[in-house]
Amino acid sequence: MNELALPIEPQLLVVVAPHAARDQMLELAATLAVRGPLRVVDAGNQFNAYPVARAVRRHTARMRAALENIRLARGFTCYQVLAMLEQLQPSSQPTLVFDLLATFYDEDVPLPQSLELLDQVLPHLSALSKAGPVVVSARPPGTVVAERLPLLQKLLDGADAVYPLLPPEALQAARRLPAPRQLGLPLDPD
Amino acid sequence: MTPASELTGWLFDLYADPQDGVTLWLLGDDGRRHRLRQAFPITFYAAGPPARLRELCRFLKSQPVPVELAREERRRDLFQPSRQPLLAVRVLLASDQPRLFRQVARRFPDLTYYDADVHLSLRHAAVYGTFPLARCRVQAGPDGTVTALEVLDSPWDLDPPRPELRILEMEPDVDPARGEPAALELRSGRLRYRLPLRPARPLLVNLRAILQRLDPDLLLTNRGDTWLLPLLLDLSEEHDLPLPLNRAPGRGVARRGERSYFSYGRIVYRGSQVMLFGRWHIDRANAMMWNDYALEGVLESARVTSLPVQEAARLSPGTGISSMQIRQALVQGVLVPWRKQQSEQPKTALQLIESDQGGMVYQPLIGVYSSVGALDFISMYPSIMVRCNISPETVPLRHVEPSDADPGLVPRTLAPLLEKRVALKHRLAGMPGWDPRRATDKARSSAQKWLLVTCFGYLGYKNARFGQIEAHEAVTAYGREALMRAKEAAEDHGFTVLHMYVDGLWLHRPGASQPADFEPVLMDILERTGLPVSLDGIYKWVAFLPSRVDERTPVPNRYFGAFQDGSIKVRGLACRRHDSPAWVGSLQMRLIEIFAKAGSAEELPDYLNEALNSLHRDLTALSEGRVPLEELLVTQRLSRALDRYTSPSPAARAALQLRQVTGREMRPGQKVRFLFTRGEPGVHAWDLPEPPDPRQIDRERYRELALRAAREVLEGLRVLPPEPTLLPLEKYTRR
Repeated sequence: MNELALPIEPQLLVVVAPHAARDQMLELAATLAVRGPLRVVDAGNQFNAYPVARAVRRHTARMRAALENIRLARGFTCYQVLAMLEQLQPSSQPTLVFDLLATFYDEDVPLPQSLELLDQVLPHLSALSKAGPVVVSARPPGTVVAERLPLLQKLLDGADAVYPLLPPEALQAARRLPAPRQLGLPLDPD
Repeated sequence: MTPASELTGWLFDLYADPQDGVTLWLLGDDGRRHRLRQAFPITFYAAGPPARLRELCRFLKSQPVPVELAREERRRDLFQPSRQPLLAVRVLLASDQPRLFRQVARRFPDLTYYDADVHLSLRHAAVYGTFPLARCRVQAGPDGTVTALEVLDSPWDLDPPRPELRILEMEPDVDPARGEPAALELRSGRLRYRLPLRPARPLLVNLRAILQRLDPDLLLTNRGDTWLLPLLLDLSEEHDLPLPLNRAPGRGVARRGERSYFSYGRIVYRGSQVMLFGRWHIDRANAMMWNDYALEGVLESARVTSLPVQEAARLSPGTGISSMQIRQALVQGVLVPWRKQQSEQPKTALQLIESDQGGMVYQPLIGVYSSVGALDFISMYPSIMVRCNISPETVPLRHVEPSDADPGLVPRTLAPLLEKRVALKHRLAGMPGWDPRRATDKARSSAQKWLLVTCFGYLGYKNARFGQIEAHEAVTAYGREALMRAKEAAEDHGFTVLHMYVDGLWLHRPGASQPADFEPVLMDILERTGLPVSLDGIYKWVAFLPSRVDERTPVPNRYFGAFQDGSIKVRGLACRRHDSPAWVGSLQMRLIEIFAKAGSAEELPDYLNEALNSLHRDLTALSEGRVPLEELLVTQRLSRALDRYTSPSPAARAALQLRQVTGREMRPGQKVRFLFTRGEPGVHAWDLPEPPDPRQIDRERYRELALRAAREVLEGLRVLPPEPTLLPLEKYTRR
C-alpha cells in the first residue's frame, strides 16, 4: 500500500508508518495542491518542497499556482506544534499534519508532559476535522524513546480512521497493549 | 573563611548554597583558596491572565520559601510585539529557586514563564560581569561574606592573566573497557604515585592524604566520569572513609546519568558525569572537544560563555553559544523564554523553495590544477549575522543587506567573539612556529571557532531560546548572494572559478602564484559583499575528484592538494573518515605527502614510482603481519539498540560479541572498536578480554581498503594509465 486515498470527508485520518509515511504524505500534498488550497503543519521537519514540485508537475503545467496553494508552517518543539494547531481556524480546506509525534518523542520533554500536551492537541485536531479533512501522519517511537509508545496509542484512540501502512498486527498491538517491548511493535528505524 | 577585608585573585567556582546564597571560590594572589559567600536572590517572571497571576501570588505567599513579589513592565519578550505586565518572583535564596519553580510550573502550566531555568553562573555574570577565572577584587567581611565584587578584566582580553592551577591527573593503569585495572596512577608536576586498587582501605587512606596534601584545583582523569570517581565514591561509602574529592566541606558530588539522544540526525551517547564543588573534575574521555582543544580551549570556552569550567568541558559548543545569548539577554533586560512557543509564520511551498535553500555549492570542475588560490570568507555566517544585523527581533527582510541599525540580541552577542577570533587569527598568522604562545592561541582559537560555527545552526535549532527559522534562512540567503557576488568579482578579474562551497572559493588563473596576484580580487569581494575574506593559501597543485560511482560526476568538497608552503589539505578522502583504520589513513597520507613534493601538477607523474614503492611497502607489511593490530582498528557508532538490528552491521556484531562474552551492554550512540576477521562473525571486538588471534585477521579486506584509498589518490591525480579497475593498480604495486 504505497499511496494514500484522497481525503474528502471531514474526518481525522491518522496514517501510521515508518518515517511517518513521508513520501506518501508529500505525494498527497501535491495531489491536493493541484485541486485547491490546503494547509500543512510540519511537525517533523519532513516537508520537502522539491519532490512536491516534481509531483505537481506530473499533474499540471501550472506548478507555481499549485505550490502557492500549499500554506505551511513548521514546528520544532511540541510547544510550538500545540501553539500552531491552536491558531489554526476550522476550515473546509484539507489540513495535513506531517509526523505529528516527532516533537512529542523528544527525550528533553518529560513523558507525562508530552502526554499532557498531546491531550491538548487532540481536541484541536478533532475540531478542525469537523470542518474539513485532517490527515495526520505519525510513526512509532524510535529505539531511544521506545517508552513513548503511549503517545501513539493516544493518537490512534482519537482518530476517526487509521490508515495502516504498518502491518495490521503491529497497529492492533499499538492500540491495545501498554509496553513496546511486549508488543513486538516495530520501532522506527533510527 | 578568611578574615581579610580585600582580596584579589581569580574567580574559580560559583554555586548555590542552601545556607549562603552563593558560594564563591577565589584563587587568591596570596596563593590561598578562599571560600566566600554572597547573598544573591534569583528572579523569574510569569505572564498570563491577571486572575491566574493573582492565584499564583496567593500560592507563592503560602509557601515556606521566602519570596518577594512585584509587578514588572520594563522587560521585553523578543517574540512579542509589545511589553506585557509580568509578575516578578524574587527568590531570596538561590538554592530554593529550581524546586519552587518546578512546583509553580506544575500547578500553573497555563502561564508563560521567563528567566526560569537560567544557569546560576549566567545570572551572576549578568549582574557582576563575572566569568570563570575572571580577575576579581573582592571586599569581604570576617566571615567571608562578600560586600563588594569588582571584575578587573574582560572575557574578550586577548592575553588574560592566568593563575597557576594545581593539577592532579588520575587514571587507571588499564582502560577499564579493555580489562580489569589493578592500580590507580597519579601525576602532579614531578610527583608520581601508583596506588593499588585492592585492598580498598589503603587506597582510600592514601588517596585522601594525597588530596589533602596537594589540594588540587583540577582533577584531570581518564574515565573519571564513567568509572573512576563512581568507583571511588562507592568504595568510600562501603568502607565509611570519606574522600575529600570536593574542596567544599560537607557537600556531596553532583552526578548526572548516562543518556543517548538524537543530534543532527544521529544517535549520540553521553556517559554519566561527576562534578565537584570548589574543585574541578574533567574527564578527558568525556569532555566534548578535548581532542580538539584540550584544557586551554575548555578554559577559553568557559571564559567567553560564562559557563562553569566543569560544564564548559562537557557541554556542546551549541550550549555555549546559547548561554552567551542568555547572558546578553539578561544584561539587556530581554526576557529569556522558558519554552519558546513562537513558531514559523505560515508560508507557501513556493516561498519555502525560495527561502530554504541552505548554503550555495558550485560543483567543482574535475581535474588537477596548478596556480589555484583558496579564498575563505572569515567566519562567514557569524559575520553575516553581525554585519546584516540578523536576530529574531530585527525581522529579516526578504533581501538581506549589511545594516548599520542598532544591533539585535544575536549580533550583539556575537560581535565581541568574532572580533576576538579575528584578532587571534591575525596574531597567529604572524607568529613564528617556535613561539610558545602558538599552541595556547591555537587551542583558544579553536574553541572560539566551534562556538561561531554553531551559532548559525542555533538560529534554527528547536531548543534555542532565541532561534527563529526566518533568521536562519536569512543568513544562508545572504551567504548565497555573497558567494555569487564573489564569483562575479573573480571572473571580472580573469579567474576561473573551479569550485565554490558555502563560504569558500577556489580560483584559478594561469600564472597567479603569488599572494599579490589575489589582492585585487580580495579587495573587490570585500567591497561587493561587505564581508571579510582571506586567502587561505595558494596551491602548488590541487585535485578535485569525481564521484566513486560515476567518474563524470563531480562531488562537492572532495579534493586534496598541496599548498606552496608544503602543507596539505584533504577533504572527503579515506584518511578523513572516522571509520577508516588508522593504517589505511596513514598509508593514504604518505602517498599524498610524496606527491606534495611536486612543484606543480605537471611534475606529479615524476613521483609515481616513489608512491607505488611506498604502497608496496605498506601492503607487504600487512601481508607479513607487521602492522600493529591497533592500527587496523575500525571504530563505528551503534545507530540503534542491538535487538533492533535486522541485519547487524559489523559494529553491531562486535557489540553482540561484547554482550555475549562480558555481559557489557552497549547503548545506541556508543562507539565500538573492532577488527575485521576471517569467518563468522567477521569481526573481533577490541574490548573483549581475549586478544584476537593475529592469524584470524582478514588481511584481504584490509588490502582492499588500502587499495581503494590508494586509488583515490592515484586516480585523482591522473598519474595512472586510464584503466579504472583494481587489477592495474595491483600490477603497478608489485615489483
